[in-house]
Amino acid sequence: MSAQPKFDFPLNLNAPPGSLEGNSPRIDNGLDVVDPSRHYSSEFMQKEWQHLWPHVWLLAAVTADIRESGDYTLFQHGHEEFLIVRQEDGSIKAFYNACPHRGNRVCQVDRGTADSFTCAFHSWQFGCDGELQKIVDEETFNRKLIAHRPGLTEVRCDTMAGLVFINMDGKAPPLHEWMGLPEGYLESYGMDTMKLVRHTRSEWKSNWKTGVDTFYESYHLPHIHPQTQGSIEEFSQVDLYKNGFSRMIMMFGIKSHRHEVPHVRAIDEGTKIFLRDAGIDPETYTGTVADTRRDIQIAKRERAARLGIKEWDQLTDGQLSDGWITGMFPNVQMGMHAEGVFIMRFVPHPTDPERFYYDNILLYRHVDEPNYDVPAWMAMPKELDVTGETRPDIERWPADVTPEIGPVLLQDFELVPNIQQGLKSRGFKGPLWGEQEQRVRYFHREVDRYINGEK
Amino acid sequence: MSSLRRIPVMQLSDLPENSNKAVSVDGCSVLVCRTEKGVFAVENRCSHMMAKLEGGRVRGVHLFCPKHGARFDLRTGVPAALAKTPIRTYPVTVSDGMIEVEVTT
Repeated sequence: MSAQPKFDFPLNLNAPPGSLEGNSPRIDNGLDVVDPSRHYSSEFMQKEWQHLWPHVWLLAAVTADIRESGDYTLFQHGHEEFLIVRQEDGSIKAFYNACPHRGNRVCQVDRGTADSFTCAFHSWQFGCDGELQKIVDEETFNRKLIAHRPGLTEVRCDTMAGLVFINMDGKAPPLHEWMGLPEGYLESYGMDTMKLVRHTRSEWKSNWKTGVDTFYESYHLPHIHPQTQGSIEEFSQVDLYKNGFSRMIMMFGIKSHRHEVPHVRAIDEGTKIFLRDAGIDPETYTGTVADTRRDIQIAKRERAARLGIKEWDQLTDGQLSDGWITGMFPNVQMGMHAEGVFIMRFVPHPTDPERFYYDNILLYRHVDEPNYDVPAWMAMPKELDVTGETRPDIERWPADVTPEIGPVLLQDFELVPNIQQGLKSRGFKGPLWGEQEQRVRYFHREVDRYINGEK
Repeated sequence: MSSLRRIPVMQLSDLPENSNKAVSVDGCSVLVCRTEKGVFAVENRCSHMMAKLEGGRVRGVHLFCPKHGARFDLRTGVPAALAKTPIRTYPVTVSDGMIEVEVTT
């Protein structure tokens, strides 16, 4: 049984060292103040395309989206676009989505299923394996020009725990070596058997790293998201792993240590939501605010046994109640929860260093039980099909339209352009990251290793 | 004055689930699609680039154009990707194992 944690920083949940929940050994990342021009200069953006993006593994898709042979999905990253296709043998291949004839995007549909792909320009046709199948009027081409039977250019691709990754230059270490998270960490949530139930993409007015920086710390919670104070503790356990990966464990269903209401029996409205999500009726609940997190864990454990949710057996009590907010270098953060995983991708804009696409993929494990519903914090539209039966289209919003991503994320959406503008000021000398922002400093330190050629 | 006619087009047993077959109905090419949710009939021409839809994959109640991947809801003909114009749909009945397409003349 976990004891009620003390709210001192640095927070340590005191899980056994080496366990998935254990606090990582401390890493000293120094006190450098980085040049903020990395957040807006075109020169730095070009350096990222030379030294960073081609060399890393990028999260391209989830296997839940391409379950059967011929299923495909597109992955955009800056000016590049990739076609990810499930093969007949069950493996997954990835290709640059550019026709070898004239460069046209061969596939122009986000998701689908097909036996082949036909370029819309001159109807050159390619198999799901990328091989050239047909050149229209082939006899009108000089044989030497097409002797190599130009197919789609393949890009290195691998999968792990229900996630599909690509590596552009083909030289990154094998995915399992490069993955900085402890062994079994991703697998424990069973993402490969969850369903993709929502995918949103909104354009935000900042550099992609400004977005990462914002979501990589919980220091801002009481100030930008004050409504979370009654139900989330913002002092997180921070864990730094190899290759720029990191995590913060955020305790959910518990009052913040700085909440103005003292720890008495009165349960905050936010905590009531978490109690309801766990199947506890807050109106008849007899515990105090000091009991809620533990009671949520117990209730979820009992519920999993009753409903036969076997995937929860391997989760710790902490995983049942808390958010393991997981950073996958360079541009992904995943809110990992027993019920589902909230994947955020911070996708660089094709041309503008001061824009990025905030890409949200929600994986959810549907439980067909009347009293079991999507956790409220997921902010899912009520009419959404969460059974996974229907593959949802991507919901898109351009930069000047307010995206329907829920009230908490909207607060970040409104914050981020102000950060972006302020960090360009002559009066701003560079970010002063504190200990609650260790993940941000660690992330930039890793970016620098690529930009400087160390990696 | 118009009248409704039900044209028998093929035996249900000749059309496996999640497949489709084009038939000629009053001189028009009509695509008969069998899905896990029932049998549907639509015009056999994609409203994106006028390719034949026959041979396109069927998933749920959706048909994917085999050429460029435009997707149509077989219940309504409404496109959900790439194409912008709905395709024509025809009422279908299955009577004694025979698929019948309803046309107006």
